[in-house]
Amino acid sequence: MSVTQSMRAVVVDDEPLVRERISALVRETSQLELVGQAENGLEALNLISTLQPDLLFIDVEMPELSGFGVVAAIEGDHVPGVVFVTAFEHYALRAFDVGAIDYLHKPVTPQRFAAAVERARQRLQQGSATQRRALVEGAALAERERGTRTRYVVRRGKVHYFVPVDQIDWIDSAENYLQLHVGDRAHLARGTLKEAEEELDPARFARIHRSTIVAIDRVQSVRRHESGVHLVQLRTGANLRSSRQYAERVRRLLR
Amino acid sequence: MPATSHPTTRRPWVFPVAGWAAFVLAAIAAGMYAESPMREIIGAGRVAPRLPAPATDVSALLYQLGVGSVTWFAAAVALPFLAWVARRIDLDRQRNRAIAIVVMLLVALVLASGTAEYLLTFPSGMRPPVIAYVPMVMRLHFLPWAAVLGGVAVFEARRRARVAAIERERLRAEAAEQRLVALSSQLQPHFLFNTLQGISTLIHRDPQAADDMLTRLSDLLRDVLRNRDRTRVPLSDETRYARTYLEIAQIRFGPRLSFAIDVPDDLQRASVPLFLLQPLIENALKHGAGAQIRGGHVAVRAVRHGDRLHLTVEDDGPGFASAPMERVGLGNTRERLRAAFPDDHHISLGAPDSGAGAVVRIDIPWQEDAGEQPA
Repeated sequence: MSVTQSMRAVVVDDEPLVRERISALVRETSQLELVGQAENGLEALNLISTLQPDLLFIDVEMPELSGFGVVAAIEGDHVPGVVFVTAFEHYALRAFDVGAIDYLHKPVTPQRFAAAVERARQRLQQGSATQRRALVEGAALAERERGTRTRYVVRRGKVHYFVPVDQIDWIDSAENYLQLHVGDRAHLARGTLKEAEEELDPARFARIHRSTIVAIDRVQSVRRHESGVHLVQLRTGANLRSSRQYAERVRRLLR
Repeated sequence: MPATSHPTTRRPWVFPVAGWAAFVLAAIAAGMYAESPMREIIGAGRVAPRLPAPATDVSALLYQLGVGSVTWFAAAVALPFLAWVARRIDLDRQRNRAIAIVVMLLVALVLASGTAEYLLTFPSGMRPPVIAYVPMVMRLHFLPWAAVLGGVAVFEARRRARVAAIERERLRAEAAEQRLVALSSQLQPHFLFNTLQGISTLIHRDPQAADDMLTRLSDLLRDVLRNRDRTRVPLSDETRYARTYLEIAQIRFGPRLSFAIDVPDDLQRASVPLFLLQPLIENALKHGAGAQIRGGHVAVRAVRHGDRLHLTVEDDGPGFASAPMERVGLGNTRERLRAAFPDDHHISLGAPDSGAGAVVRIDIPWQEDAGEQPA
């Protein structure tokens, strides 16, 4: 991106008045071009994958998918620079930790907004792809700290949708993706089993294998197979193998 | 509270000392009025090991009770010491020991004064047999000492009750103050900042709307400040506050939020704890419209059933079953209900009759607001 080119910005906030105000500030800034507005996290992800903006002004506290959750779910090589907008002081500090360009505290003033734009201009010129991926990882970490996960974001083409955690029967992993099995369908979501194990409620999900997590209430039967290895059958009919490493966890399923 | 407003705490020694002086004077007066029981023994020159004759007048009655004897004087003089002992007994931790102390004290005092009188009254060689003297000792010594100890016990019990009441009151005031501190933080900063953000947007597009929102915010803040020194308010105050709060939220959330407040006019004068509804409404907002992309609805209702007032706050969010119980506002609400109506309130969480969502139901006694006195 050259200096003369303007930065293409997307504004995301669930409150219409905040969206309106920040959009107006974007329009008034010659270095910025407003390419889209979203009122929730899913819309934001759809816009990001279709428009590939340079810069994201995004609220942290939003229904169903927070600003951190949105950034954590961004896939592919293109990761926009992020400016978090928040009314919560502690999120503001967290925003810096995860590697955001800046944060804006509500109510947003034109001076503060201009300063954020200037920072964005400098950062986007020199920013590396590694830095951008680090931002996604940081946001995922921040999102994990906000509490147990209740839904996964899944992408089909350029459309994103939610898979609520309580619909999931079992999960296995493939490289950096999780396969969320819901009935006879499987959804691909970003993440590792280790992360999933940390994010999910241990009272509802149990890891039984290096590459398998099951929803405890979907378990139909557990049979001993060979020493330390069990066959776990789910109500959906799926047959899963546990491994020795997780034998203790499986035994607890039996109680 | 200024120190001078409490006479009992200002000069705590006045009443005990005055009471003690009165007791000594009464004992002296009674001694002058009643015949000395000693005359019975000394005057007759013999021991009188018999039951006293029935009293025929006040003087005889006092005489038979031993009033006027040296023992009463001894008891009067010993009073401050007995009061001191009583004060040092810790009833909570050593009840049995306290009873033992009192019994032993009584026995020791009776024996001591009885023996002293026995030895002092009769010159050696002229002493009657001890056994013959026992009934008289019981009558003339046990009664005064028992009466004095009983009096001290009653006095001490009353003193302790008063101290406990003051302590209870102090704890209550302290708790109320703490709750109030917690309450002032109920209007959370993010609500303020989001509202200010809304105003700063509207100023550019619609100055009239910005002005309206600013007015509502002022109303809200004024209510918070005005009621800071009260623990009870009329329901009308709570309703007004809830309405203003939700109106502001509606401007912010736009069409994603709807709300309904159903409080009949004749219930507006009910007396309720300050900010009882506010945290519940904030929760309903947070878990309803604030947590759902499709938005949400908040309903506030008040109904009177005889001498009970039922308040409900309802949202159409995911409900209590699916949402973790992180509802900070509820702990606060429970605590405040406990303080206001210790054993006479009920709060329950559940699902609304209409189906999905969460509803908090509060059942408190119907009380009418008496007016503007600070609590």
